[in-house]
Amino acid sequence: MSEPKNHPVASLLTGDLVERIKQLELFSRLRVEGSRAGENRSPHVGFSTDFVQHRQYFPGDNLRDLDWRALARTDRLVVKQFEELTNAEMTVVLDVSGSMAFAGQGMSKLEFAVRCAGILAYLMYVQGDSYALTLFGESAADHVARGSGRRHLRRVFEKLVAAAPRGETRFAECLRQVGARLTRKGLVLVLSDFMADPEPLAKALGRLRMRGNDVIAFQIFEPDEREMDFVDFTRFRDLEDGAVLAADPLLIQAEYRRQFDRHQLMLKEHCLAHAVDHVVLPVADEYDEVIGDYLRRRAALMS
Amino acid sequence: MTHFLHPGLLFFLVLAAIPGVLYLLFRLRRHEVDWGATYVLRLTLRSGRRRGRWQQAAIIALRTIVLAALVAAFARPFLPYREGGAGRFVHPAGTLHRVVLIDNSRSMLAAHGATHRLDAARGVVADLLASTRPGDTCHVVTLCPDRATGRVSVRSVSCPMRRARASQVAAEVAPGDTPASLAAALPAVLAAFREAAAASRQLVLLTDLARSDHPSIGDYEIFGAMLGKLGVHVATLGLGSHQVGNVALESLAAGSDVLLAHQPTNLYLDVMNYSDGASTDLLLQFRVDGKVAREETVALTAGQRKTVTYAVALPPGEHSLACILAPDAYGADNRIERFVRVAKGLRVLAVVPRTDEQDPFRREGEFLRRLLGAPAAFGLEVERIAADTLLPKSFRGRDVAFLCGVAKLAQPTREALGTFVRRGGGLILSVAPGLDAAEFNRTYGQLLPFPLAEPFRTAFDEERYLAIQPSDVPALLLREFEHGLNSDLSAGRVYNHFRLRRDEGDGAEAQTLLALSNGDPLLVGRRFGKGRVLLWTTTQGASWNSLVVHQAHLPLLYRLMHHAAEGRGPRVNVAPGEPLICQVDEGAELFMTTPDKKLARCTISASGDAAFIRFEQTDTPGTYTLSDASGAPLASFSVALPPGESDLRVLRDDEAKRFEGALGTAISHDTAELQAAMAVAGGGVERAGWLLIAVLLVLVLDGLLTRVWFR
Repeated sequence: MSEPKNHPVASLLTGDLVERIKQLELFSRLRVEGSRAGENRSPHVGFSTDFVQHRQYFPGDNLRDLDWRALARTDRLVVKQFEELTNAEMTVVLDVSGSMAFAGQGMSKLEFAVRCAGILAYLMYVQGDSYALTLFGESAADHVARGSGRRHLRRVFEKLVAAAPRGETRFAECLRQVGARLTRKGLVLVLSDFMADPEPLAKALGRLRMRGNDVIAFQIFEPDEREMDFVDFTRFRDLEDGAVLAADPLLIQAEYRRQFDRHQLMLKEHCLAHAVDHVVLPVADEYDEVIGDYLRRRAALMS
Repeated sequence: MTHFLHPGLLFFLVLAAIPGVLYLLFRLRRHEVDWGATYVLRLTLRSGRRRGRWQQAAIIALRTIVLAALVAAFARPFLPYREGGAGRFVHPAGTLHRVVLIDNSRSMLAAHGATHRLDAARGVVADLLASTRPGDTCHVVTLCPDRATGRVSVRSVSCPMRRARASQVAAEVAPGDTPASLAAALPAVLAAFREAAAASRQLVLLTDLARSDHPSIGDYEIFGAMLGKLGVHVATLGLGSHQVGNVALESLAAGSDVLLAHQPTNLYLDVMNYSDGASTDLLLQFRVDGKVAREETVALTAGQRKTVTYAVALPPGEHSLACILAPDAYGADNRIERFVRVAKGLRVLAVVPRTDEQDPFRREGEFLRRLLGAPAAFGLEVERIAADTLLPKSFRGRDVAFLCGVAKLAQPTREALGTFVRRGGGLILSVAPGLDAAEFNRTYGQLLPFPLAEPFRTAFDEERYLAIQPSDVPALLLREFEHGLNSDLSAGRVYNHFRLRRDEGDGAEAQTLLALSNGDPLLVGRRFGKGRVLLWTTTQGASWNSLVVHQAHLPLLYRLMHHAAEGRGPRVNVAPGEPLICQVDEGAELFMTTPDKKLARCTISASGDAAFIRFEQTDTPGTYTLSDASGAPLASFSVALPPGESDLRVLRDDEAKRFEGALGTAISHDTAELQAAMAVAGGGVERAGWLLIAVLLVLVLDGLLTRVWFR
């Protein structure tokens, strides 16, 4: 990709990373409704090489579709129906609430999430899928409508680069707004730290799933946030609402980690209960490998 | 209550507040961090807030305790002796060299509470030994020197010592048989201190501070100075008391252990009041052979000695004479017993020189011959012979030989005479005018108390004479001649006498019994082997003195003959340490029962054609009984109490002050006071070590709790 250096895509995806992304693939596990041919399975029948079913011949059907062998066997006129492969409509939902501003040793959760989102968007561009981007926090108003192509990619990347963390998170409301924008069954990728009650959160994700979307919840996990490796008495300022909580880390460390792990587990369980795929992405400089590992595993499972 | 060696360091206890202060400072410190997982943090704080606070408080408290304990440890706390607590003697910091000097003289057997002073001292010794620690050095020294060597006992004991072993060591301190001698013990104490180096040195003196044991307090000053140079802390426990007095029966004597049957004899009982107050209505009981012969009460003023006289006339045989006083603080001297042998008679050989003197009253020995002419009424069996008929066999079967003016003897006779005296015979010698002193000295040689010198006067002068000095009589022997009707000896005139070479001869053995007004001896005596020799420096006739015409002369002669014959029989009344010798049947199985009821087997030795036992273990005063295998008593002996031990009077206040000043000590009057006196500044049972161990344990606990609670 020969974008100028100040191009938003170039700022997120460098050199050989682009080539590596092209090696990846991201398809929906479910049947999605696309607007044109693609690589995703459509709920409709179409003209791919994947045989789906037979149906009765009606006058006017293309004689090429007749299954002459079945006629010979059964003396019945039946036509073959083939799976329709279509492109997927993918929606990247990125949490830009204040909590995503937390940074451990390296980049912040938001920076990591933005890069992962950029990889996903570029992958969708390469696959020819249509994709949309929604940034959510207190609301899901910041949105890039669905599209495809290079220009659309540029718009998405511009939005990603400009993303800044602020405010609180209202998962349920935001995901409801996201769901309202979905016109067809597609793939919804939610990137967030999911720092909220897991049950209603998973329920909100589940509603998206119930509408036939393949939902993947990418939990952006910062290890330093779990460790709380402080020895001094600390005043913790909430990145979302600015509230300050004072505590002695030595006193609460063990319990805090226990609660953190419990939150993780509960989130996973609830997502599982709602058939939402829960993926933990630890923040690392090698963000491409983190997301790439997942995508390769997913592709392997689906093949 | 705990004391501290360096209390000033306790100021740093403020450092113990550091953990709390730090905690508060940390709470105030604005270490702010932006946090994204506040949702989880809120959950955590809701669930664990209460538990965390008390855990935090506990950790802070532990760290505060650690710092406080460290500061206290550096201040070196110690627990001084608690008053009233038994058996605790403080131990100063560092190693200790403790010397315990215990008075084991017989006066320490005086009553002290339910027991006696020596027992009380032993208890303190046990406490002192049990208060030692590893690395300490300890010695136990007794105040009574050994009779044979003159040295005190110095015993090194290993430290530390369990109480049971300490009590055992203390119990092994036995009463001594010599008077206490601090002057003899202190050099040994100094030597002991110089043997070992230690951080602290203590000398603990346990004594009754009897006045008689410290005749010269000034002699202790140099020792006190030396002890001070060595850095020795001296503590003294005075077990005596001004309130405790003692009335002692000091001696019961007849002037001789040999009495004649049915001859009236005075027994003299010396009673001494060793008290600073009068003793009245003292009941005395006099017993003969166990039966009460007489009772009387006596009264004594403070410090008074009185002689009570009992007249006895006893049949022949062995008799016991005892006097008993009501018990007081020191019971050992409230009973005195003596054994006497009453002989049927004395067998006397009177030897006079043959002379050509016509006037019988001028013959030397004539008056003696006549005086002894009717001896039967006085229990004497007298053989009178001339000197030229004296043979060696003449001494056989005799108790006393009276050689009057005999200057020359044949060699065999001399040897026989020496043997006679050595085997217990009595020899009385007197001079004669014109006696060749040199020949006299050659003849009697070592038998003489002192050799004769020249006569006092060269010629007789009836106007010039010397008087007899009865006040010079030191012995009980001649006590009855001091006063009363018999005192006319002092009216006697001695016109001439032989002087003696008192710079020659065995002066240590000789005793002047009578002296003249110019100080020259008139009658001297000495022991020779088992026998006794008495030497008159004047004549027995009227040539040189007027004694023959004095009424006391004959009784005096009889008394002297009794005295001289004392050695014929075995000595049954001895001083401590002197052997008991008794003739026994050969082959008999014999045992000796000691005053402390111990039974010892006796070894029989042959001497010539006779067999004897010789019993040496006579350190304990009291009655010893020789018995056969069936337990039947054969003979009894008496070992006298060592002199001076009855005087329980303690040092007077001024003397006590001088004593304290000389040794640099303070006299404590009971154990509690001694323990307090020894709890000197810097002393105590140190607790720093325990504190440091506690600090270590608390640190370990702190680490464990922190790991468990907060990780």
